[in-house]
Amino acid sequence: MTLSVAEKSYLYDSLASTPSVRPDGRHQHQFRPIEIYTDFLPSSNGSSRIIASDGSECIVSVKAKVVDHSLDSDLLQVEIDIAGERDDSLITESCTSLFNKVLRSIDTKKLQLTKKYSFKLFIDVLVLSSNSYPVSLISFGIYSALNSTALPKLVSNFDDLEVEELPMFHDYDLVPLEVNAPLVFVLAVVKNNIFIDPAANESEVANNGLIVSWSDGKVIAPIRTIALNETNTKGFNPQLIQQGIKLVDQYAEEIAKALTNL
Amino acid sequence: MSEVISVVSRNGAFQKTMIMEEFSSDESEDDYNMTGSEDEEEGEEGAEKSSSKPTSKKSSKNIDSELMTPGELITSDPIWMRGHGTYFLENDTYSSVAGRVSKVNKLLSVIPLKSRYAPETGDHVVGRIAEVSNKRWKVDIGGKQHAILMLGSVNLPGGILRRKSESDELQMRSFLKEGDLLNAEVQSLFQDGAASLHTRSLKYGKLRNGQFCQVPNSLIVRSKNHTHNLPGNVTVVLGVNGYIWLRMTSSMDLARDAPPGGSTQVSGGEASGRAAGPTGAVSLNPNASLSITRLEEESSWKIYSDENDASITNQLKQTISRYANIIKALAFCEVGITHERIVLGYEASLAYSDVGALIQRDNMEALGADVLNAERMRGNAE
Repeated sequence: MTLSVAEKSYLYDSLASTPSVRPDGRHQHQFRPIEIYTDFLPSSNGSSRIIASDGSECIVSVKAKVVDHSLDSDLLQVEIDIAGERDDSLITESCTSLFNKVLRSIDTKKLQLTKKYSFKLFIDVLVLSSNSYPVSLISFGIYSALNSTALPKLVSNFDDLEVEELPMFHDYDLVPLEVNAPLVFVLAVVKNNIFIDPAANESEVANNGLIVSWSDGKVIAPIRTIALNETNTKGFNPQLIQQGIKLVDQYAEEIAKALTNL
Repeated sequence: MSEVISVVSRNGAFQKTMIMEEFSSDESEDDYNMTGSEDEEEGEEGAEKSSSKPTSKKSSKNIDSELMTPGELITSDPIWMRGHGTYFLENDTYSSVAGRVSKVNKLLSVIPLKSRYAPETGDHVVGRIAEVSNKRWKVDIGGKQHAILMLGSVNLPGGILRRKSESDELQMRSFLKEGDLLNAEVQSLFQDGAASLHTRSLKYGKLRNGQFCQVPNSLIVRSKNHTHNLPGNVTVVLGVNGYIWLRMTSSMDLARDAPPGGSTQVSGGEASGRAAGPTGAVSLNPNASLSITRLEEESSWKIYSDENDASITNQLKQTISRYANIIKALAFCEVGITHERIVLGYEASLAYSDVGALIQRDNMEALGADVLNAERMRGNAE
């Protein structure tokens, strides 16, 4: 998104002032509305489609496979595809590695089937269009897809070390997967102010960006900074990181609730 | 509803054939009826209401004003010439877009309901510079092609209308560079449908002191005037192409609206502060009112300045954000955007003291309904 010099300085001044004015009048902690479709892919165990109010859109599918967890301990695997970006582009690779790290906070005990076997979840993300940095959209997508995931019900024995047998499943009964999926938030730093969920024009004038992850009531690693644009990026006061974490701490619970109680 | 985020759960038509239908949770069922179907047929229904004679039978005599969907058979009569928005298979003519059938003599075409902006001579548009090339700028106006702004059709700094010189050619980027927003008029159209723009009036030129906002171009109604002063010291430039600029009202905006006789009085008070127009033009005679037609007024370098007015208060920025949200809400409700409706929307929006509340879906719908209602009460509904 290219903006004119006058637009940029107008936006920057209004975002940097105290009290700040966001171009769409939102509060510092307010998100733009989103729409969610869940569980719409018939061949996936769980799926979601998220549409943001600026037209950004993302589809997430969760598929499960039974693996021997003594051989393959990595039970969650995220693949991200961003339309218009190469698979080896910086943004795709950094998002993929971020989510593979973030999802380690999920307790893999929930995926265990028997003493020997576990479900391995393959989370495929397709970002159809994104106007601003897509990380928080993807994380909302993964969150609601995991919440809508249902896995086949085990009917065979849990203890399969003594009696060697392969896991057997019920013909049609499914068990909902209950995991504490993490959320990831993008914050924009403008001078001494920090904003949650920056829109495209806000990202364009931001001095810096902050990625904060959250899971189960508390902020978790990784926390990262990102450059939201190529022209305006500067250093910032480290106290703003604290402020950002506090902001996420305060409001993430409410967002998780809104995403769960659909 | 949460103040932090509003999440709407939806079910689309693509979920209808799902084999999991029985397993899906019960509350999504009625949700499907409410939102899913609306989602799919919103555009059609809206247009059907406005179409004068919605007919379902497909007699070739009554195909005018009929609404077509892509792939729908228009006629199997071979006498028609096939125009834009149609295709044919074995003498049958089908629509390739969603829109209304138009017949001119024996030419049959379908005019799409929504499309990219098609420029017409005389349109007041807002555009963004996409490229600086030889003696011209390429301007993004949301059309199929970039519009052309020739170096000769802008006001050159340094005074009275003068011819462009070689030094102007070399410093084109100091007038307008990539990303700059400007308003202009479509001067003429090229053979291929691209627009040629001009800014040879002081009401056109670089845009400053405000915020950009975009809506579908089909929602902007062509009218005599596209620059309007709004309550709260805000001026809106409604580009016919759907690009909208909201800015602080300048003294020139005030002078334009004032009656011709009393204009000196109006601008007298204003001019003492700053006699600058929206595009930065300065009157040679500080006592005289600024007029957009008097081109002898000096068009200094200021008309290409990138500096915003330092006197814009936070209060005013709030108001501009409010107007931006109102315009987005009107666009969300698929209501045509006019000066009157923006003002009605502003009055209705004052019920929400928090500007950020206007981005919520329910509030946008309520605002759209309020505007249409108020319009009906005042008796000037279409």
